[in-house]
Amino acid sequence: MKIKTAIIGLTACSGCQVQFLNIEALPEILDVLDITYFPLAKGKNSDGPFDLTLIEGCTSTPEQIDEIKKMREKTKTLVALGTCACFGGVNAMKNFYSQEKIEEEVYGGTKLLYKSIEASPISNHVKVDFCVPGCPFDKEGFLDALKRVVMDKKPPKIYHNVCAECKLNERGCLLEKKKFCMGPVVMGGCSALCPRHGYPCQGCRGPSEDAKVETIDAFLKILEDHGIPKEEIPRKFMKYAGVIEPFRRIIYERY
Amino acid sequence: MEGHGSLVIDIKNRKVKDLRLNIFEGSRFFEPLLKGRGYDEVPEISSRICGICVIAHHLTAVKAVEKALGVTPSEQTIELRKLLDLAGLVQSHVLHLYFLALSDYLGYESTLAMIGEHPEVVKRALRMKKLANDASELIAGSPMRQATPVIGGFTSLPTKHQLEHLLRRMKDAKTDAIKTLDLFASLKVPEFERKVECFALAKEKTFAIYDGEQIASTEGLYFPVEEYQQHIKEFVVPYSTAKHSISVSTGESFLVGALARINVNKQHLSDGAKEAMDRIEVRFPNYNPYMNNLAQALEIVHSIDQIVCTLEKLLDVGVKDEKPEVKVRAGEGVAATEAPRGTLYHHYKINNAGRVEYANIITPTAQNLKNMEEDLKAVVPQLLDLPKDEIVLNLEKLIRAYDPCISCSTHFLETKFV
Repeated sequence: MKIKTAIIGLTACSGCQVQFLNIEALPEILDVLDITYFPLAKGKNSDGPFDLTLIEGCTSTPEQIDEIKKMREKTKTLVALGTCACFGGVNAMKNFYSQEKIEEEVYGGTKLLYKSIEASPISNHVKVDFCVPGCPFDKEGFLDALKRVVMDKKPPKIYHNVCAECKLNERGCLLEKKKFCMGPVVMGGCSALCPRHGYPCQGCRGPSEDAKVETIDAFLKILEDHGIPKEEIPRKFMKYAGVIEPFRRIIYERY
Repeated sequence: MEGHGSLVIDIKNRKVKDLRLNIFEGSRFFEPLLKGRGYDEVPEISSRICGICVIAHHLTAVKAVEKALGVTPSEQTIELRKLLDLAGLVQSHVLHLYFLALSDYLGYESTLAMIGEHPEVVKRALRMKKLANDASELIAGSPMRQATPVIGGFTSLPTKHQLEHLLRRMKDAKTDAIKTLDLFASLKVPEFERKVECFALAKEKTFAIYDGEQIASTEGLYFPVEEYQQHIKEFVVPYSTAKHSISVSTGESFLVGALARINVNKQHLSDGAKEAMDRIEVRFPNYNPYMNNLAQALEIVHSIDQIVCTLEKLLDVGVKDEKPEVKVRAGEGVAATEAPRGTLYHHYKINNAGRVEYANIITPTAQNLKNMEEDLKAVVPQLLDLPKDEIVLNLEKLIRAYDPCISCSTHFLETKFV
């Protein structure tokens, strides 16, 4: 029996759904998954029930919260696909601003018929069985999670940070070169994509497993010693996962 | 059930009284959130606007910030960016044509459902998509997350050997590009025409995609991108979280995208694309919006030719090891490129600390939405004698031909007849 699968998009850029279609092994995946709900790519979409639901995006409207609650009831395993679903992603930067002000700035005086609320990771509203982070999610990481779903096993856990993978590339440490690289406090699993190409880690995979406020404090000290302007630090922490602990506490308590 | 949009049509006595494309995609407020950010973060954050045209957003932001800071990129940098932008265009067009539009015409509910009966078509789509993604990965580090293209140049460069390998694959890909064009030329699109003004980026003697500082229209406009606000007026309608636009000179809606580009710049298509165009006997300018799909297929042929040509040029000169250099200063910059769905404008003001003070982004979808509504209004009366589900399919085909950058380009569509 194939796994009845739903793929849905909430507030996001659709990039993780595109990333799903980017997976080279798509034909093989379709041997295992029977995708019965996928409005991005399908005309006929089933009402469920589903064995597996993959959700891209965070919630930022009241309707989306209702939608994922309904999905949760209809599905056995629910996966947060990508950083927006796992941690709120770039959409949740707005939570640190006044909603009224930013709405005014984008839409002027016109009141829209739709309500925009705080952006939140889907785990704030429903039980999430697996989280596959990344902006977009890492294909290998997704396939690993998928294999575990098929075998009815527990979600994979990544214990190391970006630095652990970056060292293997032997391209030198950007933090040592006084660049603001988030590698030490961010979850690995991306093969250090950005630092490997000479671009500092921006934290798109969220906090690493062992990132605690205390360990981050040591990192903050290094940044300050390097002369990174103080106002830049909380901004970086809020970019992809600012509403997630311990990043949230760093933003509010240290700055 | 849920969705990102719905179409409401109010018909009385076979006349369309009202038609609205409600878009309730969650708003993301990028422009105010960019304020205060460092200039170097702008491309990264702006590129998160759209996962289908990530590269176009990234490069347009790079171009605009460079103009604000007075940075002049090297010729090599510009060639590599052109390559990257074309790869992004091919990726997006392949995704759109094969995964979103094709199944409507072949009578399947999705391309995924075609894999059993048309494995060669699905495999071709995946092969083309992979090649385009591999090309962007080579230049940018990843097709979905641009690690190397920064203000001033690239943090990491491809080797000669890698570029040679890509060149061989791109030459082979021409066959797939031609097959794609033939496939889309064989589909019967609904007959419909509505003449509208078309806008596209222009640069002397080229089919402008990345490089170009002027905008041209089929009504004879020709203006520097900095003057975009004098010619394009964006406004908010309460029923859509995506904005609408009109052309200031005509007061009417206008078209951007593949069809508009070919209508404006057809004489600058590659020889290969021109030959193919003659062979399939299609004439431009063409004002049938359903033809946008064929225009995209033609652009794939052109883009592959152009990628081959750019790669040969780069290999001929040799890739030099250059480091991006930036001096921060206060300034303002406007840039436009042709994203897969049409002209994309990014506009920033940067202060002397290198931080963003103003950001304005006009996406192709915001430019096309009103035109899409106007087309739908005009086409509905032609369809009224068809059964309801066929009317809906024809309207969906039209919306999907536009390929709007909202997930409602896809199969969201809930159509209500009032």
